[in-house]
Amino acid sequence: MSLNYVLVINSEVTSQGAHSAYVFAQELINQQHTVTQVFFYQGISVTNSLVSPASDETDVTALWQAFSAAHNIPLISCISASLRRGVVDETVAKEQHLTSINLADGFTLGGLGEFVTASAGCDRLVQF
Amino acid sequence: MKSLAIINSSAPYGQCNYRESLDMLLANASYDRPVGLFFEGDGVFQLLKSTDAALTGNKDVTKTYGLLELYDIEEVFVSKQSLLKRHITREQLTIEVNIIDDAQWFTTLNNYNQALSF
Repeated sequence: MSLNYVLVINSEVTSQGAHSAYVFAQELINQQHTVTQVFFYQGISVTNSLVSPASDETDVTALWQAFSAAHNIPLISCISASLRRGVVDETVAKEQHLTSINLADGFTLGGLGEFVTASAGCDRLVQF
Repeated sequence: MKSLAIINSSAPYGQCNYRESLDMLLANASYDRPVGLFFEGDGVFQLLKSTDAALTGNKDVTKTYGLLELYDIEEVFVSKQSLLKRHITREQLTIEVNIIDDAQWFTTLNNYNQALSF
């Protein structure tokens, strides 16, 4: 039976959870399930384009970007949690009069409402 | 709409879990989604009347808990064992809650389709 999943990422880019979530998401696709949305709530550092791991370390942000592009799965990053942690896109930077932009490509800022809508209708909600 | 349980197990103010769990709760409630709020472990400290949040440089979360009724959030559950271990009584809590024991904890949680924990 194919199920609809929404994933919530509360793990920082430096913690195991952010990578485990990616492995889990990849396996869902392998097993013909659907991932409606990956919502980055407290794991905002995963969406920060300035994160630069050493060359022999795993680039979790890049893994998510490739995953999203390959399977057309939206990576939504909570806007209020992002502002609190200093990750912004061009629009938000203008609104807040900030001089830098650091939301990584492939991620979109969105409100909690987008998560509510996606998760209220999904078969499984999994938090990492 | 699937119902959602939000479980708080961390003490307030040390991290922003308490605030982001509350944001999550109110966002879901404002879409009329059935929600339940659970407190266990150090999460029960979030409900203490006597905490002076300003000393930590934080907003007082207990004021927001007073708004739960406005959002029609009536299902608030607190672990009896967690309160006992910390010598906290019902009178010290800032809002009306259902105090449930470990056996009821899981049967109550089981009434919800989904859960998020902070």
